[in-house]
Amino acid sequence: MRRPPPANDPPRRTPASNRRRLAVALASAVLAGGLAACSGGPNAFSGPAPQRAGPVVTYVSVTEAQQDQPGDARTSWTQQFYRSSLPAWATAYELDLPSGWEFSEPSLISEVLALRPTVVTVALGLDEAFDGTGVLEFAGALRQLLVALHKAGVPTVLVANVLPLPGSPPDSSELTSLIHAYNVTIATESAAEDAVLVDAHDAFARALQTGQPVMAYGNSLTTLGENLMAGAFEAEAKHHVFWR
Amino acid sequence: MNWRDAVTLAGREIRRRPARAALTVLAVALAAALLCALLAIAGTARTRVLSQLSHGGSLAGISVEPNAPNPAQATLDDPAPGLPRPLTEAAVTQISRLQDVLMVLPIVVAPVELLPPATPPAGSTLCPPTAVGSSTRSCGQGQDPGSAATVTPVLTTSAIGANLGQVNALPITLLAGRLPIAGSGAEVAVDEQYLASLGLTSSHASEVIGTRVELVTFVPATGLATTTRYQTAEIVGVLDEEMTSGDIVAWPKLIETLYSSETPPGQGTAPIDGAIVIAKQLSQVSPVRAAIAAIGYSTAAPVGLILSVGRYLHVVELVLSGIGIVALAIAALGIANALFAAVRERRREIGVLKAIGARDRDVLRVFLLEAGMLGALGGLFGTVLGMGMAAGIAANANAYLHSQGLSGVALSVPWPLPLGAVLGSCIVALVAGALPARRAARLPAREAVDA
Repeated sequence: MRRPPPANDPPRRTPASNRRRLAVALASAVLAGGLAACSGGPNAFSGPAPQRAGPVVTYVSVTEAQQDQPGDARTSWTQQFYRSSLPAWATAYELDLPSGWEFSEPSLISEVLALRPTVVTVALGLDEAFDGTGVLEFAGALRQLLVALHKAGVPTVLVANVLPLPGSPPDSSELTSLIHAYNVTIATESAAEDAVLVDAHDAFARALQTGQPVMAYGNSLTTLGENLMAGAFEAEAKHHVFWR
Repeated sequence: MNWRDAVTLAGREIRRRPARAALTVLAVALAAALLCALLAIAGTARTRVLSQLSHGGSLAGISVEPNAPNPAQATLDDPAPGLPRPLTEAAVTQISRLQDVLMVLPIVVAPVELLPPATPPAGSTLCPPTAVGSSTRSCGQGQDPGSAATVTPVLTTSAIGANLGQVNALPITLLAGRLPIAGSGAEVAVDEQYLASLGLTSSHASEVIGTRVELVTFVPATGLATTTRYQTAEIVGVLDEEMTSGDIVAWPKLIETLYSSETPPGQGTAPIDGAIVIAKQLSQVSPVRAAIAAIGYSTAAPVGLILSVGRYLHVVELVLSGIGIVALAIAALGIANALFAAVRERRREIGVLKAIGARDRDVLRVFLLEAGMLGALGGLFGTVLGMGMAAGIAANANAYLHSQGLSGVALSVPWPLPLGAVLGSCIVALVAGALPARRAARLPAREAVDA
């Protein structure tokens, strides 16, 4: 009589059950392989995820033309300010004002407002300051512009004051007094219309005192000067960010 | 011997040698799966792709030029426009109302200057300006930094705007990335010309994905000053062709803002540079072209192309069917081989069956039933596998199509296909098993027992 196997013995595998297991394993492997070959890998054509843009940021710079070609634009302070201080989705308009333009030009305000700006920078160069426009006339024109921007609800208006004189021309004291008068006017009008004053004069005066070449060819800015100007605007703009 | 006994005997034999039975079933299954998948894919290619192409697809597209019609162009595939004639909104509306017109896609184009990134992307043969003359910094691919060309910052070109949601109707293909999302005013796709301006080849297309390009436009002076407009856009895709009318593609919203700075952003109006008109049916392309010519515009359409596509698809279908039939024939040989082996191994059993009274037709029935069971199992298994394969391939194809912004292709499986695959596998198995079964049936009982 055959003795039954002990309970703790593992069940014996017959050749038939082994073959059955082999057949099932083989069939499963083929099925799995076939389906895996058809399912493919990750999609190689997936592009970057869409980025959500913030509120509309339209930047308008009111200053004299700084460059001749768009390719030159990267170094101008307005372009540096646009690229480093404003969000990626911002649009920039440069009013390429001709040399010798007058701040009191009546079409200036309408042209600026037509662009529906949300950020405006205003900078008066030395040439504009000395073109014969009186301080009172300039003050009136600046006030008109700032009032118009305030009424239009432009969130950020940055106004730079007039830069100091490079070197020491013969009539420097008279010119320095004129610059001071302009800057007092700019500060007053800016404060009256909630515009932000950018003290470029102070930044350039300190740079000139230390002998940094920030201005060349008379009153034009060097690359270092463009950087300094952009930095002065950026320092004020970061306190008035509305697009985050 | 009745049918029940025959089925029991056939089933017992299959269970007795599971490995051999499984391999035979697998051979039939693979053949059936291959045939099933190939026929499903070929059928889909023919009924869906061709149907989509011919029913309002890009082949049924008519390119409308801003030119007067050329009387000699009606039978030509290539555009042969007449004198320039502005394509107005009113004309587009008039064309969209024509009978048999499915849709009209206006194309807007704006002149633009592109400022690429200041630093060339990886793989570029150009050097950043600061690297020129530098002995410590390398740039480009094996170039001497001192002699390498610097980035040319400005690319004067045009930006093309179209409703990219209807990309099925547009003659564009993606090389990398994706198309700008619906209505985006901040995303663009560039072409190979843009890559070339950065010193890149198409193999480095992915390097520009995610980079930003600056779009510069000039607005003519209306009073005090000219206005230069700068806007950055993210490059999300690279197109696999050089376009003739521009190097970047975007939604019209972006193009319209570029075109006019005099109006507030987003409210400018760019002139329509052309339109793509989709006819409802391929057969209606010619009448629609004639109607557009009657309105006064030049057209072009690739009418002859779909005939060639149809012919090629038919050839593909024939080739796929041929491969499937060869696979099925190999499976049939496998079944016949397995049954011949079974007859050889079971000669003694056949002899015993005959000795206890089984007739020739009883033995024939057992072996044919065994072959039929193997065929049915293989056919069933193979049909499921084949449908899975076809679905997997269709899903892959659809993923590619969706990445290209195209609508997917639905898998077309007519109901006779799986049914035919199972029945066909059974029939093939029965045919393949007929000869071994006949040999087993004719085996003399004494000879079989002696064996």
